[in-house]
Amino acid sequence: MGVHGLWDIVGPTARPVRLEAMSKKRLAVDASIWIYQFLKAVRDKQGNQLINSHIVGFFRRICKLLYFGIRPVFVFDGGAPILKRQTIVRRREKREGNKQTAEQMAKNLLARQLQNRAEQRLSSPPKSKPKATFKEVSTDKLQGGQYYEDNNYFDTREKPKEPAKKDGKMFRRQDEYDLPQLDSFKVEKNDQRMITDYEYERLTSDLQDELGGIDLETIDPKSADFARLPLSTQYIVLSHLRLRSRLRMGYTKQQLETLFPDSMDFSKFQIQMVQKRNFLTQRLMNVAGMDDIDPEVQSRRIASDRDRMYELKRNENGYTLSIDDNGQSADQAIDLDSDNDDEDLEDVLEDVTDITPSGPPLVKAQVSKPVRTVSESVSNPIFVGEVETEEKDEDQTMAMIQSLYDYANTNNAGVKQAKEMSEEDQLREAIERSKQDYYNMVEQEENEEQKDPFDFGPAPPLILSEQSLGTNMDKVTNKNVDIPKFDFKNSLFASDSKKQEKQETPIWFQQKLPERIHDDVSQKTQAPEQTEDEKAGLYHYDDIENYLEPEIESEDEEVDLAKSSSPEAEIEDLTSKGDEEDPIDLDLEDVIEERHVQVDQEAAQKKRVDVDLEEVAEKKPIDIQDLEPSARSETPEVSKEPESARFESPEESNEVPSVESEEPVSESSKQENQPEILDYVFSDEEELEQNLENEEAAYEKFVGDVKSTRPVKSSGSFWSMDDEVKLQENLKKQKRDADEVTVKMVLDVQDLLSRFGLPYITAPMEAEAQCAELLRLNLVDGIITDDSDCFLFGGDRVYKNMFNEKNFVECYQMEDLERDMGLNRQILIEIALLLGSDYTDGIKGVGKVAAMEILAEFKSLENFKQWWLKYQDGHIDESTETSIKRKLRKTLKKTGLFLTPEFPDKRVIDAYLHPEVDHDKTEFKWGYPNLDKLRAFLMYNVGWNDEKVDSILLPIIQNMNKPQTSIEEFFPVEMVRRRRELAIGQRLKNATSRLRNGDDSEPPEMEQQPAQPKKRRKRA
Amino acid sequence: MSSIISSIMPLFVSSLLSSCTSIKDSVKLCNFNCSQSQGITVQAIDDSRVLLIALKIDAGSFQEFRCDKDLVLGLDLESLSKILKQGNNEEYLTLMAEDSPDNLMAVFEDKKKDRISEFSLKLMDIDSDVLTIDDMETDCTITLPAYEFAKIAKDMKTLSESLKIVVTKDSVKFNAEGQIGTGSVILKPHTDMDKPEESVKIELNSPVALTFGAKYLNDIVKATSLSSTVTIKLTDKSPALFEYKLPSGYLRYYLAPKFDDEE
Repeated sequence: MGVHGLWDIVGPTARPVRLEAMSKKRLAVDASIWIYQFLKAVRDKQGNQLINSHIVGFFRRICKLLYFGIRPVFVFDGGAPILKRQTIVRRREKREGNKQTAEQMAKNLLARQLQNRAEQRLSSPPKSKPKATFKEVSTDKLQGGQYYEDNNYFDTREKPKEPAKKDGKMFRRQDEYDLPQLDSFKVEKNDQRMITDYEYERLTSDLQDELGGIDLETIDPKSADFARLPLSTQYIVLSHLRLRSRLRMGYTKQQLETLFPDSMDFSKFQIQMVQKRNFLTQRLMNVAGMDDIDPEVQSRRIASDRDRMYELKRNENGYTLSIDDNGQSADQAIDLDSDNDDEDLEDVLEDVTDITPSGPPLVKAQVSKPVRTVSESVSNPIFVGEVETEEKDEDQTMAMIQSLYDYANTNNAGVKQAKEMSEEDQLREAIERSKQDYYNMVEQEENEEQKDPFDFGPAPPLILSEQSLGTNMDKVTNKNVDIPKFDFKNSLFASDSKKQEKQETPIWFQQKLPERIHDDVSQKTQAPEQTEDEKAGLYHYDDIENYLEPEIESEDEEVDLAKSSSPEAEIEDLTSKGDEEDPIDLDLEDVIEERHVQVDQEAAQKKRVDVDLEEVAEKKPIDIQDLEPSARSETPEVSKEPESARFESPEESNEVPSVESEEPVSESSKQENQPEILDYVFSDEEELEQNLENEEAAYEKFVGDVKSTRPVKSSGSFWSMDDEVKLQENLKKQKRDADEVTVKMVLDVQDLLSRFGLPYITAPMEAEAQCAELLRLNLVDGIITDDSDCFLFGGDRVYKNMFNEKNFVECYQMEDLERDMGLNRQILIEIALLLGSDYTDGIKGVGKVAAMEILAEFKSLENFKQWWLKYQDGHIDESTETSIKRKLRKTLKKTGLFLTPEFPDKRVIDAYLHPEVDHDKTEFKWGYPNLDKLRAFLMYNVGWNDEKVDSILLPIIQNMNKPQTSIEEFFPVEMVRRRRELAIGQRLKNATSRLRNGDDSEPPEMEQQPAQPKKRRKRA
Repeated sequence: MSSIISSIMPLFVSSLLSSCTSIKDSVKLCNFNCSQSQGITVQAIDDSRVLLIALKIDAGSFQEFRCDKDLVLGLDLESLSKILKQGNNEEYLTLMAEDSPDNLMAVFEDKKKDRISEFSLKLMDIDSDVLTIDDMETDCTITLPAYEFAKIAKDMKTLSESLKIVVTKDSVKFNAEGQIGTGSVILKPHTDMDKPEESVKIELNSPVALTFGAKYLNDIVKATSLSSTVTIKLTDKSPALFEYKLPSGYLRYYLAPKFDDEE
């Protein structure tokens, strides 16, 4: 709402005004947020939206205004300007996850390094400066003991930016053996352990893109600078570094050849790289907060993605599931808020960044979403023909190479374990163990079935093929023990397919799977270790199978239950969502059916089993499965019936249909919906509610006063009186409308206004801008709004808290703002640009005091930007540094401020200076309340009887007939206003005094004496 | 050192004190303007801007009054009355302030007991709206005993929020119409030779009927103790003037009327 924190800044300038003193005043009322306020904050004890709260609320406020002889003009919002909508969207995105785009991050990194450099230069005496020379180390000179781990072998252009200071810090060679050099080091061109150049190129270019061109090699994860980066950034960088250290140690084959003519050196190099990886892994763990072990928390890696873990945390209702990603804390549950229909679940999971407090209902809802996506993706018509198959072949080759390479790596694990006791290696151990388990299991199976002569032992994974896939499926079909828990799809067909008759054509697989396989393979190549991880992930879950079988059987029943349990009162969009999904579900089922059939035919032909292939086939199921444990086996139903998921509790899907949960649930979903529907973002909803409560109390008093001559038998709040009882039946139906400001509500209110004989207008755009315009046109004497934007639109004489306190209203006048605080409209707009408002996000880390200081210090944002841009480029003009600047630099750096040259957004300024408003100069006319019409209206809408209406309205109408005049109408008033000493903090006081003293450039520099050439010079 | 020193006769302390309390309910903060020629003048408007209070204490009220330079003393009336209550009627009060004062000094002296008590009161910067009040031609002037008027105002308030004053040639009628009923008090002019302050006088240029907010009248009658009589000056469609004469000076209330009909 408005400019963040602006009310706090201008608060001290408020003048208390008695409501009585406002009689006869024409006031523009910014009614746009009233409806929303009532909607939002007026709830009964169960937290339900009260019906027609907007009507009752408006009625009360109008009565109050009229009682005090105020002549209001109601102004409603028209549309929302583009800027505002954009800001709202951005803000919502931000709320959904503090994702920093890769590009931003890269820029930040660069800027930060430059800044650090500038600071070092500043802080160190000039003579010690030359240390920053760097050595150009030609690659052929690099010997085993001398190479620079952290140097950039790819891109020497980057080098000059990186001072050589790092040289001493990086990994030191640890071993003392000095072995004779070999003259050459050769790798066979078709060595399968090496990825091809093409592949390497492909993968690393991805990385580069993601980091926005920042060279990872230039980052020193040990440095203090790095530690100062936001955790999320650290995490990204670390995980990339680590990933990269895996890709053939981060170097191409050619590079390795040139670097290590000596094979012994190469061995050492490898070992060091392992150390480095270990280090990075540990750092990663630290950053992700995974190093503290909690028995209540189980963490497992997500099988499809090596660098992420999901975490199961025990709580009283079961488990809370969370995915640890991008530095998000793992103790928070996942919120899947993506309507992402990508066929790749991977993407979906990557979108899983929004963290919300964990609670059973949330988790459920969240679980339902990804699963839905899966089902959609399954049913997506991705049947691609030849092209895909070709690509598949290619990928198969790569996958084979990759898996061989990985295999070699894994076999080395033992050696590595001896050296590094990192978590990664423990993981690896686990992998090995689970592998072992798997082998055993497979062997058993083999014995049982006597069917597939495959050898599993230490042989590297084989190439996937359709046939092997088939076999795999066959296995699944014949032996549920094997992989029944993977997902409902598999389980379904596992149970169903037994009944299927075998057919001959494997067409479906050929068409359907290639793309998925392709996806899979590419993932695998990106993350070489993935296969092992998947195994690790996979076979730990054998025990879950028990859950699954019964669940599947009862599934249909459950779905029905869930369906019947979803109450009519449920939110509209939910139902519509459900509708949308129905076809998908159907599709899904079709596909599954189809698949069973085909799988079985395949099974008949299959002779070979391949681990990789199996994983490929199970790829997506695994992802689900990873999510599953928290939601256990109800995931299948969830996926079929997403809305039912909201009613399910983690442990027991049978609890689902409990009716008592109905209202809270719809309530909570309502709240979820609101931010999307409404333009208003209340940062302080609690305050709002508090205010309305106060108003409630005040209103009771007011009514008491009004009816003083009658016996008042107020049975408590108006909200909870007979009106509620009467409308109880309507409530359910209306509830679904109640969660947003509907056109009908606005029309209701306008109808009410016309019955009161009060003028109202609908602004072309923003109501508060129109209010300001009305004031400018002298059509009104003041503005009633709670929106601080109003000042920025040129509003003056703004009355706030009109309805909160009994007698005093806060009156803000531009005159006061200017005289007492040195704020004018221009400065207020600049403050908005710093603090953020409806039109702009503001600058992170700048609070109200800092904003004032910035403006006092720099006079304009333009100057501020120049200063910061210089800093961003690595310059600090020592001569103009003041203490405030220094402090500012420090705080802003912490937040990673990055300004673009366009910084003070002209569009925002323009939007405030020239809002779209109606310039009509027609005077407003005020009529009389039409008692009969009001009675009818209130009877019809809120069910008040005549007596109740009369008891409130009659005194008001009487009062209107005998208006109290004011003394000022008779005597000319000469306003004597002095500058007041405001009760504000010292920093703010300094800032305001400097702002007030305006342009006489150099404010008395209290703490800061150094005879400096002043900043003018800098700007010149 | 140029300062103003005003010694006030003991009796006057109490009158100042009561004038203080009488306006305190309507106004909390106000500026005391001091000048050699005018003595002390105060003008204040209540928050609802209906009632204007003008207090004037002439220099003659004081034993000694010196004001080298015009001064504005921003006072919190509540605090002032707290301090004034410190003294008793036997004591002499001296108020002192410097040229650009931060504090107002109040010194109480008991000459008999040689007891001196000193207080200082912090001054404030107070925004004030200065209304220039012309001496109006009035349609009628009513003088009646202060207590009489106070009783009427209090009684009528129980009936209605508004009190209508209708003045004709030979009577003044205070009329209240409320939800529960109506009430009126009619006074006719008479002269009490023994106690002139008991007389009711009506000077009429033209008949007047005006309505006032009862609660403001109730604020006004708090000054009753300051003077035995109150003078009411009424003019059609204008604020009424209620004046309480002080020994040397006055306390005046200007009250904006209510209108019966639409403007």
